[in-house]
Amino acid sequence: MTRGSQHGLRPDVIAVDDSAVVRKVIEASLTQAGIHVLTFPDGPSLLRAAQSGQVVAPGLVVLDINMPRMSGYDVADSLRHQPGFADAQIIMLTGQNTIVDRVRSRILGASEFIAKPFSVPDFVATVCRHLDISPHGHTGGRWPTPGE
Amino acid sequence: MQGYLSGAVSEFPLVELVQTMGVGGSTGALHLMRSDGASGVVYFENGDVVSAVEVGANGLALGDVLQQLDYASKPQLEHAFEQQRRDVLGKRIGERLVDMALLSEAQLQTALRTQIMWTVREMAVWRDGSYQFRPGERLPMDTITVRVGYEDIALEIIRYEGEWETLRSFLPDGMRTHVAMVYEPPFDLQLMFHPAVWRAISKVNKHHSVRRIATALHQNELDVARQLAGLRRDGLLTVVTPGLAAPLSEPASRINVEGLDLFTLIIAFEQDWLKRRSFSDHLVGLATYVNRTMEELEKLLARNDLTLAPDSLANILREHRLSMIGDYHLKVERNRINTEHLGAHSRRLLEGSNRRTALDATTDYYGEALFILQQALRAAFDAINRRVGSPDLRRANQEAWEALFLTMEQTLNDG
Repeated sequence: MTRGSQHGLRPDVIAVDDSAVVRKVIEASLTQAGIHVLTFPDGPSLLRAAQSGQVVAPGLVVLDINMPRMSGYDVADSLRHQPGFADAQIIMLTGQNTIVDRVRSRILGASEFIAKPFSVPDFVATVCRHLDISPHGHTGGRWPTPGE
Repeated sequence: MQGYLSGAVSEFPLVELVQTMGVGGSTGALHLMRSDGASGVVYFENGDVVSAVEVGANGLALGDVLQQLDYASKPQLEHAFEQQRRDVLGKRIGERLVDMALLSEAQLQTALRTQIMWTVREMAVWRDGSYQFRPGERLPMDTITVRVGYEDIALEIIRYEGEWETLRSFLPDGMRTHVAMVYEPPFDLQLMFHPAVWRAISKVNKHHSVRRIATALHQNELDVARQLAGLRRDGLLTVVTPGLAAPLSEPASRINVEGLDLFTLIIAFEQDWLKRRSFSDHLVGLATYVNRTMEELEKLLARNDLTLAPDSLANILREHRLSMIGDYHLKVERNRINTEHLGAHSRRLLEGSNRRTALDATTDYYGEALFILQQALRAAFDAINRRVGSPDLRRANQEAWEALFLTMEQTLNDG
């Protein structure tokens, strides 16, 4: 499920949200669908991991807009300057579904905008659509080994 | 994933894993996964095995064991299942049969113990795939009703592996193997059957696994496997691919709450909680979440032609001693907490008085009400989750709601 590279982990999806609930649900639901996901509680920890090469740009980044240390907008802006991340698709999440958020997300190049609370099956379907894959239920008979 | 003991079952067979967990007095869940996607879990509690499940419709159900041990008939089980269909969160099948005096407590214990032994021995002959031990992952304590020592399990596995060496070439998928009569028996075979073998033949058709035939015959599945293996050796039976067989509805699969999307509910509850500011708002919010959970469960059950007994929530609250907040009795009718009544009572206590003398009582009420209602929500989640078949989904659900309660605690501390 996990694909390592010479430079670091390359998940299918990276999600950044300060809510432990959202992170846990995203991890569980995408993993169930056979999608490898890495989550971060805030933008700076993702940016550090990206700068140090611990993670390689995935196909899709999911960003919460309203986070205390660094907003999702600022994370998206910084990621664009990281090698490989410029091409990653971005989905913005927000608890405040305002027109301003929608427009600003679009300007920053986000391809989707999802308001919280969201339907988890719909969220998984959206992620699959962006990754151009169909979900599956198991990991092909093996568990990822520690550190993989 | 860090810290989990994991690897290939070809290198560390289940019999050795069971002994390792037993000697170490381990508590946790040993997950097994075959390369074809079949999976199972063995739960350990202080080194004893307390549960074992093969995930999927063809796993060994308690109903199979009860019939194979000739403790219960199919109509009796159907009757108990029918009761459970009308009260999905109520008592489980075994308890219902005991209540109806169709089964003794001792027989139920024997059946549960047998279910564990036979399930583990079956998984022990998996020759490919992987294992992963997750320390601390456990069943809800009140669902543990039987414990089997690791030595007994290991002995059963060793005994079964000996049998399996003889059977494997005839029944490659063990008790899950599907067999059918060959179109033409060997020309020169003189056919003479023991009556027991003839009875087994009468139950053979391409839709029946060895397990299902044994259950229908009220015979131990290993005995039936020996008879069927003999028939295969003589060229009278052939193995058929189960995927080609029409799936038949098993009673257990009718009572399945896996379709309930707890993740979406939990995210909705978190978002709602973050908007609630006053003490009484928090309490009404929690009661509303309990009600929403029950409502979603009712909708799911209705779609599957199942119902929830109208006193399910009241019973859950009573069972967990969550019906009272101080001297206030939660008003619960038809699986809903009366939030208007609770809200009015809470506002009267929490916001209606600013006298210093009332402060302590107010704080006490809020703290106790918060605890009771959080526990009620946890109990509702848990009552649903223990009906979820997939151990992975059960664990993920629980982790999600624990994160919700942690968030609630943090917002209360911050606020």
